Amino acid sequence: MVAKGYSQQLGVDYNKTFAPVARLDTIRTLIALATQKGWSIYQLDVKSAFLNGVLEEEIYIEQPPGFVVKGQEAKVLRLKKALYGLKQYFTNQGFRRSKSEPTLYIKTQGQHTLLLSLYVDDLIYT
Amino acid sequence: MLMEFKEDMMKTFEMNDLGFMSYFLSIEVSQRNDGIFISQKKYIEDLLKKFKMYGCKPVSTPLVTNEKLQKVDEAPETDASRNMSLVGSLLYLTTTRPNIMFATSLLSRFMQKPSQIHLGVGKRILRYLQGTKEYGIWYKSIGNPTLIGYTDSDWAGSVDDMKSTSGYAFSLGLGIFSCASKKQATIA
Repeated sequence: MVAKGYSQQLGVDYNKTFAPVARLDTIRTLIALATQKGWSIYQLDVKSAFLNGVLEEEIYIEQPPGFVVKGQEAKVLRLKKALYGLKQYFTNQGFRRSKSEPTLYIKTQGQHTLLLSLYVDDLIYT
Repeated sequence: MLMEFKEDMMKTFEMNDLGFMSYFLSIEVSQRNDGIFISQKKYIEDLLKKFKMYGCKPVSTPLVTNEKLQKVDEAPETDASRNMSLVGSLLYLTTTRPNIMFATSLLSRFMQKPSQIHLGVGKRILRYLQGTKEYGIWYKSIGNPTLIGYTDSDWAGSVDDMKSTSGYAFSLGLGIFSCASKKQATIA
């Protein structure tokens, strides 16, 4: 797996996007729905999105421009920590990821439903 | 379940608990018992400052009625990058102001070579915003909300190529949550 979204092959990887940006339509839909259900919306933000999250698979990236090691230009780097580890965390926690909007997660427990939308390092849930 | 989720998140990641959603992506959110109101007053004020229109005289509509714009007109050319920046900012503003969607979409068609006239259109939108800073979308909770969709088009509204512009809007209960205004790709 590599960390440049555009160079990925379709269907090879689980993660397609690398900065999870919610569409504003999604956020407004969430607000409209929460209103009608009488739910409150809460907000969390990650202090350092880049450093969070544990990786379970091997991910390689090219050497970033300006940080290329002389004489070893052909080598790639292996990520030790996830750049954005939230996605994997949510799916491990029993959230279902929306098929049409990759930043929307849904978890149901009995009669309760938790909706969650992610915008890079900010997230809202209701 | 909500509390449990939050505590789990706080334990696993370094997170700030911001409590009720009140300011998200420069959208002001006010949650009340009878509904949720979203607006971008601060964003508008910053926008007016950025384009040196802060404190300008307000107008009551974003566009002049029945004015037809053309790609090429007699008016002298102006700075394209300024116009692009304005269109970008206005597009973001349509988040809580769907009513400027048409005007913004119209303005965006003249980004390549904006003339003084196009610049004036942009300025008028800003002056309209000056008078309506506090406007936003009010999601009111009602008994039996239904999902309603509207769509319309303007019968070959573009002077340059006779293409039509169509728009749509979807609402649940009172608040609109998805809308667009777009020039059609083909001549109908």
